[in-house]
Amino acid sequence: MAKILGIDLGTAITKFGSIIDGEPKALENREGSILTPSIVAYTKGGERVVGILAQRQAITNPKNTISAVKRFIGRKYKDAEVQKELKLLPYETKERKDGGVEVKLGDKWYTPIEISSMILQKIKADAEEKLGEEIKNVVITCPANFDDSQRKATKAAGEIAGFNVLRIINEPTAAALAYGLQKTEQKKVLVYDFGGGTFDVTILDSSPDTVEVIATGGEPHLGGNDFDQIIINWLIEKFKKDEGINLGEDVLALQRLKEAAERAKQELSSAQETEINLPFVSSGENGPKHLYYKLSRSEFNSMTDSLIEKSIKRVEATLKEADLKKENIDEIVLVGGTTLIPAVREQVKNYFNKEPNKSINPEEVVCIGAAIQAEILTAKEEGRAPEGDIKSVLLLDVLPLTLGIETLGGVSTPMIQKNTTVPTANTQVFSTAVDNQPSVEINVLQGERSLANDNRSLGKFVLSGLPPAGRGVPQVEVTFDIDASGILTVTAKDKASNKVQSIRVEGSLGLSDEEIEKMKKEAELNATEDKKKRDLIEAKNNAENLIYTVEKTLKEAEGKVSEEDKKPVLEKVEELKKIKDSDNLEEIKTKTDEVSTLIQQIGAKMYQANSASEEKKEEPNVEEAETEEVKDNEEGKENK
Amino acid sequence: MKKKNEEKDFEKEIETLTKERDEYLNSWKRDLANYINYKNKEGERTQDLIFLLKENMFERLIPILDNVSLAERSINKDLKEDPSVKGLLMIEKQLEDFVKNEGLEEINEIGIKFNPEIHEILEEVEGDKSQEIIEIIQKGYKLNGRVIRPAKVKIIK
Repeated sequence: MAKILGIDLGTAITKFGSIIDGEPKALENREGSILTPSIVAYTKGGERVVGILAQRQAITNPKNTISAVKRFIGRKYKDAEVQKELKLLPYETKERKDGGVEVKLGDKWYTPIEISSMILQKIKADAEEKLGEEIKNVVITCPANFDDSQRKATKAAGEIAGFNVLRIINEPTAAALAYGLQKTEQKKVLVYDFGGGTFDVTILDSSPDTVEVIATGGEPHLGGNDFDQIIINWLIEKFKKDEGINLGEDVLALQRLKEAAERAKQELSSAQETEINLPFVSSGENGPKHLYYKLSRSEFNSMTDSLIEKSIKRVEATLKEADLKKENIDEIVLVGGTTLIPAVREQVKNYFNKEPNKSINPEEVVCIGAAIQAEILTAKEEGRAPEGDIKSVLLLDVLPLTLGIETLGGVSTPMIQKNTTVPTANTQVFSTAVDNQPSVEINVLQGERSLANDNRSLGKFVLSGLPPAGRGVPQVEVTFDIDASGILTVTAKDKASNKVQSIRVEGSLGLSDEEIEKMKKEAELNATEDKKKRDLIEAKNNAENLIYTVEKTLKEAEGKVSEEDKKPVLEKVEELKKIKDSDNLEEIKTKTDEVSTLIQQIGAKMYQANSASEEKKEEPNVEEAETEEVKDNEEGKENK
Repeated sequence: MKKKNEEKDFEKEIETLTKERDEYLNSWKRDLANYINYKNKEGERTQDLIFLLKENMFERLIPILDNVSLAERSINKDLKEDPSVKGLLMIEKQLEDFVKNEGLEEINEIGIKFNPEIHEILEEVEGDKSQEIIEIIQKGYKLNGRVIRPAKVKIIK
């Protein structure tokens, strides 16, 4: 089974993905980032570098740093648009004999195909290192408005890099594929692609057989970088006004402003306000200067509103070109990192009055779609099912509601949590609540509520004949076992006498979907109230346990503890006894803590007094904390 | 005749049951293997996740470390002997030791050749030794050998 790649070969950034364990995923390059700048450079040290390494030396080596070569691939040098772009470039270009474009890197001239293939070679090496095998089959994406010559050139770049290029597909089509939109009925899909440096809009006619491009439009120089620049300018202006210093002239300050602006933009995606805090950003006559400003989301939105407006206008024009109204669009797909800005999402949503598809990371969605397409084509070639499409023949059910048992104080203690895949089993050890308890009752419960009474009882049984022992001593092992058919068997076993009792629950586990939903909703609605009740019961149980332990300890230590020491703890125990049945959670907790502290002090004194040969006394409530108790019949009634 | 038929039926049943048994046994083994593989992979993924979380945390901590060292640089020489300032500088040292112990390494060497794997050029000046780093404008960092921020540098043209 050959590994494949989907490559989103972008003007500024290239991304690539594959199918990992049946899931399409964007992959990281060697430098640990999903984003690889589409830049090739010939360094002053005479080395050829690609990606982020090329970007890191770009400022001082502009003539030998080739970026945005995608704008020239498969195009004629004399094209008016090419000529316009060429004017913005810092590197040398010339016309080739065949009329195409050539760029100068070091001492040599290269075609855009060759430069693109250098980027793709890096991608190939990084992906092979990551996936641990050679990769041949790829699908590469290109803009929807690429003509045949540009597509052929892109394919040639892939082949020079050593790939077997299965297909060149449109970027918006790849995005639609990632969402599986082609699987359903015929639809009009609008792909809104707001990247770092460019904005593109494409309208697709998607049906189960084909995906056809109806219209495309775009702004070649509009992107996320413009949003950052607006924040940077705002900071520079504000600081100039407040401190009279131009931060734009200081290399380090400008670098810090860039990083802060990008961070602020990201933070405003989730927060309503962000702080831009750059201490020691500059220094004046009176010492260091600090920059500290707050930027709210609404301020940021009003500053950048015009950029989003520009993109929406382009959408309108493209709809008009396709002779469509916005109501005709069935699905909207968001692509590009800039669509992570909440205001962008909001405006798109408001314009179409429809929720856009945005669950897949918009920066990765194109390479993910390309990877899916590459896997489908490769699987077809190899005569197998695409990875990730293979469904297990064996379907396993999941438990819709939690199963548990009733424990001391009427609490529902979970044994198997909801959403666990069956068949499954779980065993837990419980103990008794009173001295010499002869039997335990197992009440099997279903539901999400904290208290047994609020859940559904599936059945009860009694395990009797427990040998006499103090509370908390017997060990009753309770096992819940659900088989593949959903039949539940609950078994209780006394470890001392090996006595076993069990119950089988058939059929009644299967509630209707509505009943399950109703029970889940009730649990959600009552969650806070249930927690309060449960906390109170637990506090009461702890108090009771402590009273029992203190009295037992003092009785056993008769003669070893002075009356003087005993008196305060007995008084506190009496106070605790008085309030333990009240509903005052805080008071029960406080009094329990007081008693606990006093008995620990007594324990410590006893320990000191005893010789080293004597055993160390256990802390009072350790044992109880680790075991849970099952009430017997009478005890249960008392508690209810 | 009847006996023979019965034998045939039995043989057929045994054949079906054997086939079924093999099928079940194989899918059971396969599932068990899948589970073990899944568990191992999940272990690796957890390791990756821990690394990623650490990396994310350091990415946010680094600008604060920058600020602390900028603050230190702005303190007057005379003031550095002030006990309160001394105490603050000791805290800075503690912070530096902590990140170092957690695997964070500084990239701040000058006098070496520019290397795009660990450096990013912000400025260049005229001079003799071409490509040599003459100033670290902003320190870079490596976490367990991987560059999480390149050093921003000034070099000779």
